[in-house]
Amino acid sequence: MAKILVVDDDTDILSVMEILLSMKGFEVQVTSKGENALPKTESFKPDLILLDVLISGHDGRVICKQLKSNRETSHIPVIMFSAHPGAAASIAEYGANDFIAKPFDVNNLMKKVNAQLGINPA
Amino acid sequence: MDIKLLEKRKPAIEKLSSKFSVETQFKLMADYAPMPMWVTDIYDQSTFFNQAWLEFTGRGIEEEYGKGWMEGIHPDDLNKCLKIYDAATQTHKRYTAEYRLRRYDGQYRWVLENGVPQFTSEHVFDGFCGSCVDVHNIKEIEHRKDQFIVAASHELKTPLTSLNIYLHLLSGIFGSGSQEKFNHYISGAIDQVDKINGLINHLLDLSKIQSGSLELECSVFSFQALVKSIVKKMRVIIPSHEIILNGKISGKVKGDPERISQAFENLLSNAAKYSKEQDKIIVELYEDTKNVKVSVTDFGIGIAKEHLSKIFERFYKIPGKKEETFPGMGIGLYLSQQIAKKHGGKIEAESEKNKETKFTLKIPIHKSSVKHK
Repeated sequence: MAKILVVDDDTDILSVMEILLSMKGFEVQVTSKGENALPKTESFKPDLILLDVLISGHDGRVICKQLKSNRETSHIPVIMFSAHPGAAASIAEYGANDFIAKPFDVNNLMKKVNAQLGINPA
Repeated sequence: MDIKLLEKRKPAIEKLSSKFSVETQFKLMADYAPMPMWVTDIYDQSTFFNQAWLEFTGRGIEEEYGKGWMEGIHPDDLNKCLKIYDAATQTHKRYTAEYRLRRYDGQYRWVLENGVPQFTSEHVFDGFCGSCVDVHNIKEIEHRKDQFIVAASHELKTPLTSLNIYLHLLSGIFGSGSQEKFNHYISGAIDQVDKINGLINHLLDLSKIQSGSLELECSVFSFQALVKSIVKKMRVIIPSHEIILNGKISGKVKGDPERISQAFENLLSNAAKYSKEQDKIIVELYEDTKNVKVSVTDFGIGIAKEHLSKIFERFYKIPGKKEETFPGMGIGLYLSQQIAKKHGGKIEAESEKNKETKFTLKIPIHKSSVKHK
């Protein structure tokens, strides 16, 4: 079972993402605190990270860059998301693998998740 | 100046001309004008600056002559300006340019410059005459408004994201027979609708305050009882923080309990929002002969002194790498302050960057309740 870590400062988003992704058969962990992103990644060892751009006191893009520059975590694909217009334009240089704008279509999100994990949905 | 206009004004000018030369008259007028003005020759060299220009830049006329004025233009704006000037000098057409000009105190201020070509009586191009208006404050407000629109759309989209997923889940679960899950998803969706509704109400309150149509439904009530009930409610809404309530007061206030609650709740949710890495918020009640007061103290990121006076302004969001990662539209404190003021009260803020932040809401004691004390 593929493991996904979701990082977002909005706890409502976290709880519904947890339901959604668990239902789709993933093992999910979530955190609303930016400073927990790296330790959680090290302990949980996710196969994919969904990372918000603005996380109350932390810049998700900086977290992404840290993940990508760490040898232990650099291989983990990161999909960033944001409701902030214009956020998409700035994420590539931080090493994120993909971006999805909020509010997103669930099918579209799942397509991106599966693509990053190399899953071919039946 | 326009030749036709000159001819029209000829009698008046001739009357003045008996006293002063036209050049002296122009200089007199220009020096009395409140906005910075200048004149250039056909080679785009400056030959005149009025008093307002020299006062604005704080430089001597000798420093400004020729191309000296270029030193005052913000380096990032200079190229853009030179292009506009070159084009205008070649085409002999009127132009406008917006750029930052260094003021006497070193601050770069946005100015809007209007340049008008001058012609001799033989219709030969004779350089430009221009004036500048300080549009810095307008630009700042415009910028803040643009940021507000971005922030508001971000805030509204966040609950929509959750709502969207809940509805997607519902469409999947519907008919599968799990009543418990069905109820959970429905209430999740309803909560998000409530959040969007709350955000829209904030926007509506904002326009009500702007238009002066915010009505208060007043009654006389115990301030302490109101604060206690809100603290109780917010302890459920903010489980991440322990809200400690200290102090006892007896003063009653006359006001709209809903609105005062709104202002106080806003202070509490801000305290939690900006102290994510802490787990304590202190609420203190006290009173003097005139006012009841409730303060909310958090131990979060703090507010630098230079922003303290601006945080109650509409759409103001504290700039900074860390500060800008927090959600919000920049209207909560503005609304809260306006509510306090409508009650004859005030909210005051004390803080420093990376230090504790204390907001105090002050409402006047209702007079007849003082007599009964």
